[in-house]
Amino acid sequence: MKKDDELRRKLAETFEDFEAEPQAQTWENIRAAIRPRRKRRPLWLFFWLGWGCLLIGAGVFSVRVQSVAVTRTVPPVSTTETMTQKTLEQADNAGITEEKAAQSPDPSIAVAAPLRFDTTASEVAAPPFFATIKPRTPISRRMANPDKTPVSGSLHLESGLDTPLLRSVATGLPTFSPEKEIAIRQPTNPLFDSVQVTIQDTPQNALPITDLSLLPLRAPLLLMASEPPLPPIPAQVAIVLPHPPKRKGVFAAGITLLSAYQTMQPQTFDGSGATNIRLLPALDTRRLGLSGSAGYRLPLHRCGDLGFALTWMNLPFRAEYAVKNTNQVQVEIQSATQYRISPTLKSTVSDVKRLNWWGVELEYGYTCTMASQKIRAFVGAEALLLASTDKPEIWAQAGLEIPLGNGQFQLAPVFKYQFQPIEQADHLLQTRLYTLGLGLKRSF
Amino acid sequence: MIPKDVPAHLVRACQQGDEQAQSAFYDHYKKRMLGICRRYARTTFEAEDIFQEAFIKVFQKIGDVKQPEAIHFWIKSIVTHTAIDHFRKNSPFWLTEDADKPGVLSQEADPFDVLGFLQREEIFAAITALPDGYRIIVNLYLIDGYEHHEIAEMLGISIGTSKSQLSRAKAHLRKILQEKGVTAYEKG
Repeated sequence: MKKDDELRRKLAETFEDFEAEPQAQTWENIRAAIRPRRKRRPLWLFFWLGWGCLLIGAGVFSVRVQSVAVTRTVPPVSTTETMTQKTLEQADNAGITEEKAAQSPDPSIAVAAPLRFDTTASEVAAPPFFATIKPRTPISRRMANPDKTPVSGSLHLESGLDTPLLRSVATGLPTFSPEKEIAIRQPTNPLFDSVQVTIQDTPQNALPITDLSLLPLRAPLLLMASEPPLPPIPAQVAIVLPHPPKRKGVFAAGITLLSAYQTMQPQTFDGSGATNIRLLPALDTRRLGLSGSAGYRLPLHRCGDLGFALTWMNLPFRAEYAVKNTNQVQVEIQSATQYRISPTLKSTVSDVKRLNWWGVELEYGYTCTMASQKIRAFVGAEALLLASTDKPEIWAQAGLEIPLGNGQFQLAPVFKYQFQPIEQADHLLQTRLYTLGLGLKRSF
Repeated sequence: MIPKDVPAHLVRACQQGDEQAQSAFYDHYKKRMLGICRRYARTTFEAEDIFQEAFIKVFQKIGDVKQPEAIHFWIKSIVTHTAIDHFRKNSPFWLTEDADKPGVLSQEADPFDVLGFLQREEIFAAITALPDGYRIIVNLYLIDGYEHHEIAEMLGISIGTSKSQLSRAKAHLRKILQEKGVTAYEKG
C-alpha cells in the first residue's frame, strides 16, 4: 500500500505540468458558443396571440353584423308620405340624427329609416311618453302611451353598440333580446296603454345598460288597419341616465379534469454522478388529474375583463390511452407513482407531492357573441409552486367558456403549457408538461 | 512556473461576461487543461473535443463559483467529468462487461513498479494505449489522486468494481509494456 501511494505521488508529480497546445480555432469555437445569444422569441406566444386576435375579431364582427342586421330590417309599414315627412321634420327639430329614409318602390309604403339615438340632444322636444330608470336588477321602464301608438324599443349599451329589441312590441308577441336578458311585458291588446321593459341584468352581462329609448313606429300595423287614424307620431324618446350604473366584477370558480403529456429532454451529463440514461426504465409520459381555481373578474374600461384567481393543480395518476380498434379507446389509470431517473439506478420514486401545484393566475378574457351564445375566450399566465420545491414555475393557458343552460355554468376547455421546464435534481432531464383540460365553471 | 490560480478579480470579470477576461482566463489554463484531456483521451482529436466542451461548460457555469481562490480545482474537476461524460456518451460499454468479477492479479512483477521509473512520454504512451475504461481508472486513481469511493461515485459503479477495474488495468498495462519490451527496470 505504501508502495502504491509512493507511485501515485510520483506519477502525480510527473504529470503535474503536463501540457499541450490547443489549436487556435478552438478558442474561436468556445467564444462563439458562450457568446450571449439573442433570445429566441417564443413561437407559442405568437401562435396564441394570433388565435386571440382572430377570436376577438370574430366576436366584434359577429356583434356588429347582428346589430346592423336588426337595425336594417325595420319592417315596412303602411303609412302616408305626409306622415313620414312630418315625423322627419319633428325629428330634425328635436335635434335627433336620422338617416335618410329609403324609398319603397310602392309609393304607398314607406320604409322606416332607422333612428340613431342621440343622448346629447338636450333640446329634444318634451316627449309625450314617460319613462323611469332604476339601475341594476331589475330595471323597469314604463312608457305612457295615451295615443295607443305601437312602439319598438332599443337599448343603448355603454360600449356604443345598440341592442334593438328583436320584435316589435306592437305585434303582441313575446319579445326577447338576442342576449336573452331583456323582456318586454305588455298587455295582450296591441293597442296598449303602456309598455314596460324589464331588464334582467345578469352577472354575465359585461356591458351594462345605460340608456333606453322607446321608438314609436311610423304607422300602425296591418293588425290595426280597421282602427281609426292615429295621431301624428312623435319623435323618439331619449332618456339619459344621470349616473350610469357602476360596474362591478364577478366571482368565478371552476374545476377542470386535466390530461397531461410530459416531454423529457435529456441533459448533458454534468459530473454530478449519474448512470447511463439508456439503462433507465420506461418513463411515464401521460398523467391525469384535476385543477381548481377561484377568483374575481373585473371588467376593463373598454372591453374584456381581467381575472385574478388562486389555483391548484394535481396530476396524481398515470394514464395510458390506447385505441384498440376504430370504435374503442382503452384508458388505463394507474396509481400515483412517478418514475424518474436516479443517479444510482434506484429508479422509482413514489412521491405524489412532486406533481401537486399551488399558485395564482392572471387572465384576460373577452366575451363575444357567437351562434347566439356569449362565449368568453381567455388567455392567461399562472405562477405555480410545485410541492417540495421553492422555485415558482410559469405556465401559460388559453381557453374558452361556453355557457350551459341558463348561463350560470360554463363549459371550459383549456390548454395549459408549462413555460419553464423543470430540471430534475440529477440534472439528467428537463421535463415539460402540456395539458389539455375540460372544466366546469360558475360565475356568481 | 505559472501560478495555478488566476487572480480572483479575473474570475469575477469572467462571471460578468467580460470577453477580455475570458480570453485571459482561457490563455492561462488552456495548456494545462488540454494536458489533462490528452491523458484521458485516446487521440489528439478526442482530447480537443473534450477540451472544447469542458471550457464551454466552464464559462457557462463560472457564475456559480463562490470561491474564486479555488478555481483551479473546480476547473480541473469540470474537465475530468467532461472527459468521463464523453466516454459515457460515445461508448456506452466503456466499462468492460466483466467489470464486476474480481480481478486476476498476476504473480509477476507489478507493472506499477515499472511505471515509476519510466519517462513521462513512455508512461503517457502506455496509458494512451489502454482501453477507455482502464485508461480512465488509471488516470483517476494514479495521476489525479482520486480514491476508490470517489471513483465509484463519479462513474456510478461500486467500489469493488473500481478496484477490480484497476487490477485489470494493471494486467493490461503489463501486457502493453511487454509488447514495448519493457519488463523490468534497473535500480539506479
